[in-house]
Amino acid sequence: MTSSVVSTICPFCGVGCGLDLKVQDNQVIAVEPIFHHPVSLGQLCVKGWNAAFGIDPGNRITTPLLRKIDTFHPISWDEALNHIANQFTDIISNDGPDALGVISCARATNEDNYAAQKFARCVLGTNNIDHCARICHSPTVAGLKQTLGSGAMTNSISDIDSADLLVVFGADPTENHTVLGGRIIKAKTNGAKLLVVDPRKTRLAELADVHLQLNAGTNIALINGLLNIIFSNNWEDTDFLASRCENQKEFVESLADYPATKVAEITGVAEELLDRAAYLYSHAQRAFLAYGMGITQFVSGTNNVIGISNLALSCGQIGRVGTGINPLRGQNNVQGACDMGCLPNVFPGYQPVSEPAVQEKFSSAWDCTVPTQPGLTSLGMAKTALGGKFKGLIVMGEDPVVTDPDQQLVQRAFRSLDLLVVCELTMTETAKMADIVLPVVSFAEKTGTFTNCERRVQLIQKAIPSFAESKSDWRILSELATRMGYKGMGWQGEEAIFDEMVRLTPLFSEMSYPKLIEYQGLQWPCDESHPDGTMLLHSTSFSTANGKGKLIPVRYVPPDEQPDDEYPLVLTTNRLHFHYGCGSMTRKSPLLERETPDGVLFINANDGESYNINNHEDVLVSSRRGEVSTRAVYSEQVPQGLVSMPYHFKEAPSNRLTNNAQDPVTKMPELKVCAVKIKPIKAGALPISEERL
Amino acid sequence: MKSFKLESPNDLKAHLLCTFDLYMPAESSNSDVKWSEIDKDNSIDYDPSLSSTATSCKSFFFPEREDIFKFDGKKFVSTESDGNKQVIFGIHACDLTAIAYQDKFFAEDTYYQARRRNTLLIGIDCLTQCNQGFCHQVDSGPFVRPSTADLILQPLNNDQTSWRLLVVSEYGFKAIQGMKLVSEELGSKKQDGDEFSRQKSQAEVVSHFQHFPYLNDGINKINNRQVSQDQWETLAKQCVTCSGCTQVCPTCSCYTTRDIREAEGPNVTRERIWDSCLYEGFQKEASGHNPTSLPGQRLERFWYHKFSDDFVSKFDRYGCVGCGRCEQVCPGVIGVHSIMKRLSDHE
Repeated sequence: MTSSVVSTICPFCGVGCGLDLKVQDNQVIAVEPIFHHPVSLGQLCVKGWNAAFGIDPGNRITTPLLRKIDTFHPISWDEALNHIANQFTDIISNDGPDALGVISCARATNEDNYAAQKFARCVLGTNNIDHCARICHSPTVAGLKQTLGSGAMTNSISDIDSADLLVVFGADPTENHTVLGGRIIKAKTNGAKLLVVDPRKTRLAELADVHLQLNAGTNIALINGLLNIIFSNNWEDTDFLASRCENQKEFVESLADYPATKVAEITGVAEELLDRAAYLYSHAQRAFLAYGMGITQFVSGTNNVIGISNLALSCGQIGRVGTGINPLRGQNNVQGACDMGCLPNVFPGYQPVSEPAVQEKFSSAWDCTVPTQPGLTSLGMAKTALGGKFKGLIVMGEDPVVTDPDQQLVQRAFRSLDLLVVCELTMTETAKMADIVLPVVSFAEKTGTFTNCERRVQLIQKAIPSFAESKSDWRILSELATRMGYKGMGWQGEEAIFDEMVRLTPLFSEMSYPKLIEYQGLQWPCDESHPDGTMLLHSTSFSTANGKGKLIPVRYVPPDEQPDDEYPLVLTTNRLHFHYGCGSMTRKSPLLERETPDGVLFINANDGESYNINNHEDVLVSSRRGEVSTRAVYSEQVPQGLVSMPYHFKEAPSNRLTNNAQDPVTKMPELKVCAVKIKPIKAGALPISEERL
Repeated sequence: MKSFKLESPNDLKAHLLCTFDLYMPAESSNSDVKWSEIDKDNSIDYDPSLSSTATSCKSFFFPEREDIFKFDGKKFVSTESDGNKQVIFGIHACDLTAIAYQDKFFAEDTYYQARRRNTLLIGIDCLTQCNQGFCHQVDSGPFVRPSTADLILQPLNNDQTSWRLLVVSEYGFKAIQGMKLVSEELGSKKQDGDEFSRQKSQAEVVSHFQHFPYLNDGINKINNRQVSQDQWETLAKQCVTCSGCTQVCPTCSCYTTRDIREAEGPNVTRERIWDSCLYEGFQKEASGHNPTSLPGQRLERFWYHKFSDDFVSKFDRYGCVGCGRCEQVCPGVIGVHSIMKRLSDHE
């Protein structure tokens, strides 16, 4: 029994817990927590504890695959890469570089992501590069950029320990960012107060001092209502506003439209609770505010984020330890994928694509002429494909067929492509639609860096050899680049990529692999003025042009699709503690797979009874986009009129139902609210699709 | 028990490395103390001052994942393996107590026993209390209970520069053959004279330990059935079902099995994997019925197994050995200290 232990970072969520991999006979057989890890302090969530199952060889793709009509055939890497290179070259010459694009991976390393955007820009010649932050925190990036100048978590996870008020707004951190959620529980145990804003009675809502159980999609009305109360009572932080913010007059005037009575009507939250919440937040010494998809995934997503910022700025709850605006970045490296510039409008380090000086810098460094027009978002690529003008796409490690809104639209878009290349570990629903599938290495089979939600760049270590013929994402792109005539991606290894990125990205300029090991990760900005990284942003000034925080009036806009006689219930989406994303890794654990049926609709018991649906009975859920059969589970978490589905199960894809009405600024789809109708599927009825057999 | 003077534990380690694979606690790159296999040629020194290992010895005998048998379409073939002769060097009293407990639970399990019988256990007495530890309150330490180890390293002074080696078992005695050791007269001629002086030394060490009254109070409440269902449900609100407690607990032994079919072909492998009674699916039946459908019921069951008198007749002790790892690993703040405090505080 010779086993060794390799330290790395968990591949699941944005907390970035330390994870020790136990390796025996070149397989990861188990995991252990790392007690001295600065973020996780020896804890893991159930997904982390089950990480070894996620990369089991069982259903891993072993060789490149080429689709012929309906079946996949193994081919060599040479064949695969030549095929792709030739077809991409053809498309570029016939339809132009913007007919191609790359969807990068929020769970791959910074090195993989840096390579992806460089490939799009230098080899394909397009800014059509995006990733799943589009449907997650793109409003955070856009919203906070306007108000604070920077879109990242302003404080650090450890700030939770020093707050006297924790605010959790539209997030469920004990299920998703569990170790961070645990820290919130610990703070509560030690005497901090907890305020939760959520239409569902989540675990933290049960433990909270105040739970504002608002109607789904009424965030701005609620926030403006709180601000109206705060300013009416002179509870705002006048010194902070005077010295560090601007546009207060216009902003406060806009709040007149939101008196408490009206807000109570819109949100369904009693005036008395609004008062208490407003008092708590404005009077707290140090209030740490965390938020998630319950703020971003709306047509008003960007404005919701601006609302959060208005609240924090008005009460001076930012720029100090224990405070802050703390978006809970979901994936293990979604922060990194954004930092690396896998977005259609920015280069690495958020340097804008449209700025001539930036274009010059990267053209010179990369020895190519970078494209100057901002590119398409992932949803834009789908729409353009349906219009016939977008022909080829590489999807790296994401499963839009399961995770993007309006599944049937995504499927039609992918079918319309001339060439769909998918880089994956296993045959996900998206991989099944590919023309070419390329096997990639898992997190345990490579070295590189992940950046967690508190901007901490951490090193992961290769623990086992590459599985079968799989390669790193960056190496695949590097080899494609060579075949397509570009020489600037011939790196020796991951460290060379990281060092190149660091030279071009001011936020990272003092980072290096040895330093990351020595410091157990470094939080950006890590530059000349902060050589050891930065725990706290905006302590003296904001990152805006004049250093001031901007208060921006935002108007309440109801969700795009409201319930009506035909579709009388509101459907929202949630995550389970037990599964991650599309489930391609967590559903390989027999323990996790055992926890729930392969499809759940959480429904209030009273609604269950009125619709004649028993607990655990099959139920058909329909929206204007499609229908799904799944299993009803009575839950006290959802109030009457609201039902909730997780998106982890391809057999019961909630995204067949969701609305892709978009936030105009970021194209973020409104995943959190749409209208549905339900009816029971009684015993003996035929299932509606093969998957449900 | 025989007693010898020992210059340094490293002498014993060097001797054992000649015939055994050897595992001992060593600091990893991130300062955690982990069980590390020591290479004969590149052997680092044993550091007796290191704190408790991050994980117990549980997985040496009961691994997280283990193939039980293979079926080729015609025959079942056991995949039980003996494992090499190995020594686990420098185990603290709590973890040794847990091994003895698991030995009883897995007495009939040939897979466990195959690994166990080839393993030599070297214990070491603790002179200081570890973070979160309360071995002294559950009778599992800080000094090694002799029946739980083959050999025991006893430090005779606080800077751990003077040592005694105690030989408990036949296996232990065989293992030290060839070492030049000076036998010790164990003072009195009484039957358990050495045990008596160990008790005295241990009492002196324990007098400096922090005592946690809420632990005894909580244990009593559990055994007197003074904890209501409502209380358990309230506490269970903080259980996120991460399974961390059962993973790190040295006496947890629940497992499940699954059959892994080959993609094409008749071969099937049955795998045994660690399970956790905190999962909702743990006791759920095919009909959907679940005797422990409420999280409070599952929480109650876990603590019942760790602290109930009902198990003492079978195992001669409580399930809990006082290592305190569950407290560190629990995100929900309901590890042993936190839970017992809540039970104790509740009127």
